[in-house]
Amino acid sequence: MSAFELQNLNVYYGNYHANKDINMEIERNKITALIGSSGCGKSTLLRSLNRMNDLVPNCRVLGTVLLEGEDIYRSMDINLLRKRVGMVFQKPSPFAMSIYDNIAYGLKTHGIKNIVEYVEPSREQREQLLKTKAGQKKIAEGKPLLVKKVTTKKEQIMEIVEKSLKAAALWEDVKDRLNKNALGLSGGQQQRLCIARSLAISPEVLLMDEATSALDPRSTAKIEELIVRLKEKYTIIMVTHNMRQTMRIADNTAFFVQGELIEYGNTKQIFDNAKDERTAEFLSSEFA
Amino acid sequence: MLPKESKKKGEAINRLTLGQKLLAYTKKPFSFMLLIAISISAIITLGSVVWIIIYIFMKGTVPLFAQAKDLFALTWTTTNQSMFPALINTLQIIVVSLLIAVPIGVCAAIYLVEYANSKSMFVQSVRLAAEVLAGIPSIVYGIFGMIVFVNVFQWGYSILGGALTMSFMILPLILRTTEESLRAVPNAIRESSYALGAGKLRTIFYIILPAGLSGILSGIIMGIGRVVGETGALIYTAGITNGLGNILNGDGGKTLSVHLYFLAKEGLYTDKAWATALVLLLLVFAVYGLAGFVENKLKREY
Repeated sequence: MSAFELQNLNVYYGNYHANKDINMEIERNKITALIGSSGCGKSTLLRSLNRMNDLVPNCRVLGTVLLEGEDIYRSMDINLLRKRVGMVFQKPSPFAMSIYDNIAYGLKTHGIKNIVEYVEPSREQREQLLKTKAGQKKIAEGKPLLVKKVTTKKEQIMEIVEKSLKAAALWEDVKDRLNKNALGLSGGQQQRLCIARSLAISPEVLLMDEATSALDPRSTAKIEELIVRLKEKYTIIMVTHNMRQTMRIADNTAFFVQGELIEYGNTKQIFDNAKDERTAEFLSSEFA
Repeated sequence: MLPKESKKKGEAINRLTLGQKLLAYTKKPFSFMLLIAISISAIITLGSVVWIIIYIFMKGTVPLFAQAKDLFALTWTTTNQSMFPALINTLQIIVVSLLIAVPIGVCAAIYLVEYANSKSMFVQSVRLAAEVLAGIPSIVYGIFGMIVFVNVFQWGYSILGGALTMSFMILPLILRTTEESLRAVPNAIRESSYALGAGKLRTIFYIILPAGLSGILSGIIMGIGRVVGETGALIYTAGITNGLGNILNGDGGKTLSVHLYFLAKEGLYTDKAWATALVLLLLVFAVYGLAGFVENKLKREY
């Protein structure tokens, strides 16, 4: 089954028809690239998938968008949708707070509670327990000896912060300065922080709106590597102007012209053997 | 222009000595005149502030310490001319007017920036109203306050009436500075917060307000400055009695600026007037210091 299914999606900005009758299915755990010249509606499409377009005052979206079969516009809480569908923007946009807080922000947004569980005691704890009256009573009644274990919010957040930073290949760079302002990081690091921030709330889909276009080649390479690694766990949809990047990492590619989906399919097939001549023309001009 | 003599060893090649700079200006007399003009402007600006401050300190320090017992006596008499009641009145009016104007001004700014459609008639008219209100002379606020609070509400001269008048006066100031600072918060930051699934309120309180904090604080400081310096509007609302006003029981009383105005006008206690001016100045410094402190406290250290 596909992660996203778009049925007759039309998007208007005022009178401007930005997406025209888009029908497509986006495969799970694949990297899907949306390509086309500027103003072809690929970013608009991307922003329709996590309802970012709702923030634009005169934007109207028509049709149906299904995430794992659920209608995201008609029957899903918008904040929950955005938790499930993360987004990384073109310009790195860390909040003016510490690296740690940047990642903790999303977690706190969606609520995090102390976890209380009852677990097998360690040997020392068991010996301690057996000395107490309550412990002896439990043994006599044949009940299992368990100890209460509380994982505090802080511990959980720290764990997730570390996990997300590692997943975004940023942990080694910042582990000694988690309390420093995120704005002090380099552009590439900031963008990886934004990816880590999105990963922290465990989304299913990651939308990337030209996420590497503002970065230098080395940072770009790092993030590409990262994206390829991330597709094991996440579905990734990216808008890009970089055709070589598309060829390197995208599994599927969709080509748009003036709001219309012209061609959509396997990247290799599209790049080697485009069915539509407009696609072939666009690609050859991009590589010229 | 290149300096004639070659640079000595170890001398930075991109630095000119004063002599070399002046030599370079001989070729460009207009630039030199401009340099002199802007330097003089900068000196005058700095000089006038420093002059006032030094003058007040010179005139005020000695009487302030010599007559401290009189000047800070708990009750005012014709002989001690204590500024203590006026000081307390000032603080009461500052606190109460800020308590009213800051929440309303900040919330209205949040509404204008984050909620309202910026092209709607309503938003345009609120903005226009704020601009007009900010330009109204303070004495007009005073007359309005006198008619409404003193006469219609029959409160007489009261701290509350004065504070309400002051909050009307500083509301547009706080609204406008807050609105500007919220608008300056980049949209990318907003979208990033929404994209993480944060709601509007959380985005406003955790992301946007902290980012606009210094602008909001500078609006509040300017507001306090206007309240501290106000005389006309307060004479007609808080009154000119010399006693300790009380926000709770409806007593009025003059503020430090009004007190100073009368001391200076009557000319009987010139040294005490200087001492009062010094205290007023220190009060303003204290407000600046406090604002800086608050900003540092609210903004986390990195």
